[in-house]
Amino acid sequence: MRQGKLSLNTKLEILLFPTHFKSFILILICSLYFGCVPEVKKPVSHTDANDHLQTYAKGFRIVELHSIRKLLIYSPWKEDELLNNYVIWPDSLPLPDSLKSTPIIFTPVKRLIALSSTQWAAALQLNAIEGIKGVSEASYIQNEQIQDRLKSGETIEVAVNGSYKPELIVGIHADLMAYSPDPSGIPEVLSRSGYPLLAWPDYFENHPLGRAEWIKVMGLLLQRENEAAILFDSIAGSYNKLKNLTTDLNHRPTIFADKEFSGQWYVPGGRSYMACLFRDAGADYLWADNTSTASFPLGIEAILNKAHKADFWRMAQAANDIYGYENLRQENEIYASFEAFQQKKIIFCNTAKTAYFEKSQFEPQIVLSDFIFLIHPDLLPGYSPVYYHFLQ
Amino acid sequence: MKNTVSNTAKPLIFAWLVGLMLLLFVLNLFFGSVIIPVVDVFRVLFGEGSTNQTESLIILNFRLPQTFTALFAGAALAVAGLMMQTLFRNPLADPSILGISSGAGLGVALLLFFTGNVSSQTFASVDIISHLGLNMAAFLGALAVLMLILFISNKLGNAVSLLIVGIMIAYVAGALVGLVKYFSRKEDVYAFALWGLGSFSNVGNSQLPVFIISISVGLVLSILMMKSLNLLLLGDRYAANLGLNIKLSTIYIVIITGFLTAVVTAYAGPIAFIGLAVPHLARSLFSTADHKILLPSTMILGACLALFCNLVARLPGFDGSLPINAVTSLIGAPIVIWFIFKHRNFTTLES
Repeated sequence: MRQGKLSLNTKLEILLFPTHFKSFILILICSLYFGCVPEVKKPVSHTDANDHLQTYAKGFRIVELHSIRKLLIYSPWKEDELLNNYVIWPDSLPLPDSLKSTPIIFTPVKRLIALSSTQWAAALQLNAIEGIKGVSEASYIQNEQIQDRLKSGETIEVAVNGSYKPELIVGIHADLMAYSPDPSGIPEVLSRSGYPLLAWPDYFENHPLGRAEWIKVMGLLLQRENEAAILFDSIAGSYNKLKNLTTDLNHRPTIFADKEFSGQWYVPGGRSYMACLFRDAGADYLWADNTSTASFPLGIEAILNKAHKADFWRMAQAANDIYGYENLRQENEIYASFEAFQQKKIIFCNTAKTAYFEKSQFEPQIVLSDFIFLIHPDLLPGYSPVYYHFLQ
Repeated sequence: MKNTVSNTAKPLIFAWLVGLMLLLFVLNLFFGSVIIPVVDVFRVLFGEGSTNQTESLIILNFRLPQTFTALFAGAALAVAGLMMQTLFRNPLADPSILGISSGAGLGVALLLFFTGNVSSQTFASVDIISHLGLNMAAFLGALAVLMLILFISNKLGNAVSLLIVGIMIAYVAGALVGLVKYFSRKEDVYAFALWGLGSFSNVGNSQLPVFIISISVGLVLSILMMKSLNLLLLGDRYAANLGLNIKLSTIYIVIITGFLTAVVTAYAGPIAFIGLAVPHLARSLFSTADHKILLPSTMILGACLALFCNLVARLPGFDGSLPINAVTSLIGAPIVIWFIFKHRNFTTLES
C-alpha cells in the first residue's frame, strides 16, 4: 500500500512517540520507565542542595541551593541527563543580576499552555484552572470546566490531531509551555514559539504515587506548594494504608491485562505502573517476573498458554453503555476461551464514562480501592468502585 | 537455453509440492511459540482429549484456524498475482496493482477516522471497532475500488490502460489514506500501521468456514480461466483471432483477482510479496508458461510459502509473534533470489 508523503522519520515518530497522556501507544510503549520500587535518586551535581522530601517520582527534583530554588526535570531515556534546569523565582522579588542569564520560571505562572491533559488536571486539583490558557485535543477532553473555558475562549485549543497551531500558540503570550517529551527532541514549532518550555515526563513514572507526585511541580509553578504537598500526602497516606491491607494475603488471585490487535498483544511490563497496582491490590500479575517497565508485545499463543486460567483480566477502553462479553467475543473469539471471560471476571474501565485518563492520575488510591474491592471484596465491604467494574 | 523439465517429471514435482504443503500444514499445528509435546498434539487432533486443557485450546482454537488462514490466503494471493502478471503481461504485477489493497486500506483508515475523530474516541479503545468492523471496512473499501476498476475496464477493454488506471487508483487511495492519517490521532495511525503489517490470526473458528468457502470459490473460478489466461499470453490480437472475448475475459479475471484480494485483505490485512514472487517460483520450477500447470502449482506454492512464513513468525521459544508482512518479505526475497541463481535462466512470462 502506498503511504502518505511523510518522511521515514516522521512516520517513526508518529509510530513510536506519543505526546499525550491519553493515548493507546503511550500505554503500549512508553508509559512506564523506571523500576517499580521507589528509590531516591541523588540530584546530579547538587550535592549541597537541600532536596525537598520526595519519595516516589523520579522524573523531577525540586532543590534549594544557596536559597535559590531549582526545578530539575530528568530525562526518562538517559540516566542523569537533565531535560530542564530552571531557577524558580517569585515575580514579587527583584531578580539578582547573577541570575539574569540562567533559565528562569517566574512564579506564580499566570499563563500556562498545558499540552497534556495531566498538566491541566494537576492545576484543576489545586483549584487553579484560570491559569490554563492553552490545551490540546479539545475533542477528547471530558472535563466540563475546561470545556466551558474553551467555549468562552479563555482557554484555546493549540493542537489538534497531533499537529500544532503555531500562530495560536504565539498569540497566547504564555509564561510557560509544558509538553510531554519524547526521544526525538522538542518539536520545532514549540521551540520557535520563544516560550520557556517545561518537559513533563510524568507518564514515565512507574509507581502510581510517582505519577500523582507531579502535582508538586504544578504546586511549585502556581505558588501553591503547601496545598500540593498536603494533597499528595493525603493521597499517599490513603494509598499506602490500602496497600497494607493486602501485604499479608495468602491467596493472591492471578491477573493479566489488555487485548490483542492484529496478532500483537501488548501486555504491561513486570516493572510497570500497572504491575505495581496489581501487586498492591493483592493480585499475582502473571508477567510480574518480566523486567520491562514498558508494555511489550506477545503472540496470542503465549498469552493463552499463561493466562488461560487466570482469575482476573483487566482492560480499559472507551465504550458505549451496552459493551459487554458478546462484543468482546466478536472482536476475537479466542477471548471467550479465557476462564476470566467465562467466569465474567473482566475488570473493566470505560474510559469514555469515567474520565479515567484525566482524573485517575491524581486518584491512585481510588484506582487501588477499585482493584482491591473487585479482587478481594471482603477487604472493602460496602465500597462502591469508581473507575473499574466487572464487565457486564 | 532453458532448463527443461520433462513432462513426466512435472507430476512428480507437483506431488512433491503437495507433500511439502501437507508437511508444513502439520508443522504449523505442531510448532508455535508455546512448546507442546508431539504426543499431546496428536491426542488433541484425534479427539482423544488432552490432559492439558490449555494445550487443546491453543491447538484447536488458535493454531488450527491460523494454519488454515495462512494456507488459503497464501494460495489466493499467489493465484491473484499470477493472473495479474498474465493479464498485464508484466512480471512485476501483483494483487495490489489494481489498487484493491489500497482500497481496503482506505476503508480501514476511514473507519479509524470516523471512530477516532468524530466520536471523540480513539480507535484503539473503541468497542464497535471489533475485528468484524475492521474486516467489513477493508472489504467494502476493496469492493468499491473493484467496482470502479470494473467500470473502467468495461469502458477501456485494454490491459495497458487498465494497468495505468489501476496504479493511479492505488495512488489516489494511498493519498487519501495519507490525508486521513494526517487528521488522525497518533494512536489511530499506530493501529493502522499494525493492521498494515498483516496477521493470519484474525480469523476465528466461526469465521473460518466463510473465509475458506469464499477463497475456494475464487480459486475454482480461477481454474476455469486457465485456457483464457494461456490465450492472453499470445497477445490480444492473436487471442481474439482464436476466439477469445478479450474484454469479457479481462473483466472475469479482474473480478476473480479482486475478490480473492479483497477477502484476504479483509481478514488478514494487506499481505505483500507472496502474490508477486510465487508465480515466478512456479514458472521457474516447472519451466513453463502453461497455466494448466502454472495455476495449480502457484496455488500450492503460495500456500507453502505462507505456511512457512507463519511457522517462522511463531518460532518455538519466542513468545512474540512477528508481523507476517515482515516475514513474507524477509523470508521470501532470499528464497526468490536463491531460485534465480539456481535456475540461472529465469523463465519469462511468454515462454
